[in-house]
Amino acid sequence: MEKLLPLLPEITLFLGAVFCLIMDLLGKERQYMFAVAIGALLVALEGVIASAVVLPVFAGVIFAGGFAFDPLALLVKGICIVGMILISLISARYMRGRGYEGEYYLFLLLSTLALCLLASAYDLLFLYISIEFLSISSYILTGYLRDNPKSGESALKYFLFGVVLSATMLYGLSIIYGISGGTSFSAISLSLRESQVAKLAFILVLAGFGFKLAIVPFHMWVPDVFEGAPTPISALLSVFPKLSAFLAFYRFLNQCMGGKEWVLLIAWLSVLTMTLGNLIAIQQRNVKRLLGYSTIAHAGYLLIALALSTGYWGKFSLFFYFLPYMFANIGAFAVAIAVYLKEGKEDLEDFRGLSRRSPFSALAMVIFLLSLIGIPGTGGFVGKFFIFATAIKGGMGWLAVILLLNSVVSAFYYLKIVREMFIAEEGKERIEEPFTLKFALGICLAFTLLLMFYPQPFINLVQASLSSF
Amino acid sequence: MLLSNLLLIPLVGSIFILFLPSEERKLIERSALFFSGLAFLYSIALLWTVDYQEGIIQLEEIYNWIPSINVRYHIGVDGISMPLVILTTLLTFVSILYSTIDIERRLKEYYFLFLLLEFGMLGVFLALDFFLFYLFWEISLVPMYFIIGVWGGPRKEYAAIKFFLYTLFGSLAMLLAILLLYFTSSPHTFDILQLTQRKPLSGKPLLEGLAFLGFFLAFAIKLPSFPFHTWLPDAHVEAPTAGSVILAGILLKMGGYGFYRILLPILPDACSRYAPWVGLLALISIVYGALVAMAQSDFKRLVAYSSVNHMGYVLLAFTAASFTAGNLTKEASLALTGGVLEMIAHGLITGSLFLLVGMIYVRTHNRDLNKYGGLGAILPRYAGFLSFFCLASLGLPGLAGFAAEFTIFVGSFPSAKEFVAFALLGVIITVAFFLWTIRRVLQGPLNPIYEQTEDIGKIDIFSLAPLALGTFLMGVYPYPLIEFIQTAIKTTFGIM
Repeated sequence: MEKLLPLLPEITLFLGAVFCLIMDLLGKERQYMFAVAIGALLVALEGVIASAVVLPVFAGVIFAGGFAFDPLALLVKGICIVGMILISLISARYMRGRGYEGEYYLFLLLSTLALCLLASAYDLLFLYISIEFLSISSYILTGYLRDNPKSGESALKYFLFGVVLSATMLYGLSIIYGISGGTSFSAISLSLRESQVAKLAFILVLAGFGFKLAIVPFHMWVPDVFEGAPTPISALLSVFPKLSAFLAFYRFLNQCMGGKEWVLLIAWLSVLTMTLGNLIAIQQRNVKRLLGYSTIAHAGYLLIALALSTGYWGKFSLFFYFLPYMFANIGAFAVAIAVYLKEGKEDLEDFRGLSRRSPFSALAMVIFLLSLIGIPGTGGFVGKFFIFATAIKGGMGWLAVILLLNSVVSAFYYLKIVREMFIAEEGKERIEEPFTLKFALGICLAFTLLLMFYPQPFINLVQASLSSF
Repeated sequence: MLLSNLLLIPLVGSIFILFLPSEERKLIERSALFFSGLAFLYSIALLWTVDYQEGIIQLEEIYNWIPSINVRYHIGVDGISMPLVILTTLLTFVSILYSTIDIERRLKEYYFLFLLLEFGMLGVFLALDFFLFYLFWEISLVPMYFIIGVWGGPRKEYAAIKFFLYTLFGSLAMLLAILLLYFTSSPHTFDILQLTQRKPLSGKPLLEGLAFLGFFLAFAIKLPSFPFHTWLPDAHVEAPTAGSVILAGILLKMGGYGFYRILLPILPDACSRYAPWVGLLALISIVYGALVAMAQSDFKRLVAYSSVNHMGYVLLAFTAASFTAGNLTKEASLALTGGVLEMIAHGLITGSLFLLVGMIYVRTHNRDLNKYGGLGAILPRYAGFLSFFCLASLGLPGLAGFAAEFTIFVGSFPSAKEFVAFALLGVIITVAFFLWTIRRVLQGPLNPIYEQTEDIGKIDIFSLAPLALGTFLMGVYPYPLIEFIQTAIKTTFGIM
């Protein structure tokens, strides 16, 4: 029985999801379902902490070489669960009265479960199944606004795109199995230099990861899905699938690949991803779409860290970056929700005069956007600082220069939102944010500032997670 | 804690204002005045705790901040930074005083941002750790973006974003250079003083050149030097009067300060290697800045371009010192002293000129120099101040500008004769366009539209008077200031 202890987060999440389902069948007060979900997530967070306690006993690859139980996986699970609490908070008002609320939170919990499984994936099959599990929950959540045709359309696009790429990935995985004769990561060693088949397999697997990470050229689904999906789901998609998939990809690259030929490929993908994401973001009028392209750009920044993840700075900055990024991005989407609740849409002009209409949201939004640019005074700077440091330390100064240019470009479109909020004069009616949203905004704001002015504990946390792997 | 308190005053002030109700206009103005006045008095009081005979960093404070990457909260002052600190608190106070009659909408946000700006600027001059330095450097960028963008003139949005993107580009380039220094020093450190002592990049020409490029871009954009100056006329012209005062008076000095405090002490070899090219840019800034200023008919643009010209002298002093870098001569230290003096003088004088432009603009709603004329007859007080500051700016002996420029030329001559010779050309043009300005505004026949113009009032005079006093004192008795600055420079560069 104690062998199940490492699975505590997953088990609690699963039970929470079932509980949600039952509550939904029995209960009438469905607007409080978000609280049930948060309760389940808090229990799951306890599960993460509890399994961190038993970590020294069980650490390693368990369950027949398929499930990595290491501090890094726990870190990622912890971040995902904390983030999901924020997502539930910002969902509360947005989803109220839309019907099927219970199921919404059910799928939220199931996708959290999928994220946790993906974070521990250490086996080709297990990897594939958890990616599929995550994708299917995401398709459903994306199409959740049944009265909005855009939502259904984007879910369909997401689905079609996802199915093709996951089939591609599966094909690649089968080739890898054919080459190496095993499915556990520890049994695989692909050498790109020697075998053409390995190259093909690598490219096919890359397509699958690229879909989850929204890397150019597998990013095409992002803008439509971000615009059509319920805003809390856009926030979810912008951070957590990336986080878990980055961990899985990181394991894949560092465990399954013999040689380092992939480093340059990833570096070039990073250049392509951030540049394209930033350049297209400039032209967007819809804030959700704009943030969608901006997440593509951020995936590009993260790829720099991934490319250099054989070194300590690379791994460290890869996972540290997610902390400020998560709080700033969820915060920005939360403000978009506040605007949406009043205006019914979230185009740039709907943000006009926000500094008058809701000073708190506007101030918070400025700080989130500055954090996404990477301006000091916000946590985003510390994250970007480590990525810059990684590039310089890793001897890829040219990559740092491209990141520099991209940061300047990104400042241009983030400031477009700031401009609408502060510089544009006319203010319409005041916006009153619901309490849950304000609470989530407050948490995001506090952590965005804390990550700048007192980052040491967070650095320690990430360092501790890297220590024994 | 003495210096941290100085940083805390504007920070506490800005947070305090953030929590005031926005209808209490008088209360907001008074609190802003109170906090900026307090910061000024406090910085003056600090003068009694500083030893002028000592060139080393004083009132130092060191605390660990992010131990795992060796980032420390390290601040302190010496003769290079102390005058700039006082200039900052003085100009901020004066700007806020003038804003009470100039700014009428969104007061709460305005004064919140202004005090935050002061916090950032003071931090830049006090920080002795690169991480901290970079933090303050950028903190001063964001409020200025809003001040230009919200309270600025007709093309404010364009000017604000241009200012932001230009400076962001420069500062990120600096960040890369900082990281280069960090990773080549062992043990890794961000401490400016330790890096000054160890000079980790000396003997590695390629990396040193890259680091030089990064810092140079940041400082040359901020200063600004030709060809990185194009953001300046837009930002200055569109900014509200107080914003222009701070931009010209202090933000530009951050560039000059970077050249003297960081580039020359930490990368002396690269500086001397690239000195001729930097000198060329300095010369172009001086001559071209003056010529372009002369061609302007917009009063504010004229003053803005005159800043390019004056900051060229700061860069000239840097060039002259660079030629002897590694083994800095006494004369070169005098040139650098002149450079710091020039920054102070320019802050006082050009700050006042921007105030004067703003004052005449609110009265006439005109900045076209060709439409004024004869205002001297009906605005005696205004005419007095304008003539005083124009003469100070063109370098009239007995006023601050002369003391500074003369020191620069004397100090630069031994190591950079050709450059000084050409730079003098710029001085002549400067004299010409400032005299011409006086003529176009104050003399000649009075334009009948402006017959009813009122002379400047009490608050205007209170804003200008301290700056005029400073300009005068620095002009007639600059010796103690020169002593103070030069001792610090000699210590920084290890000259006995």
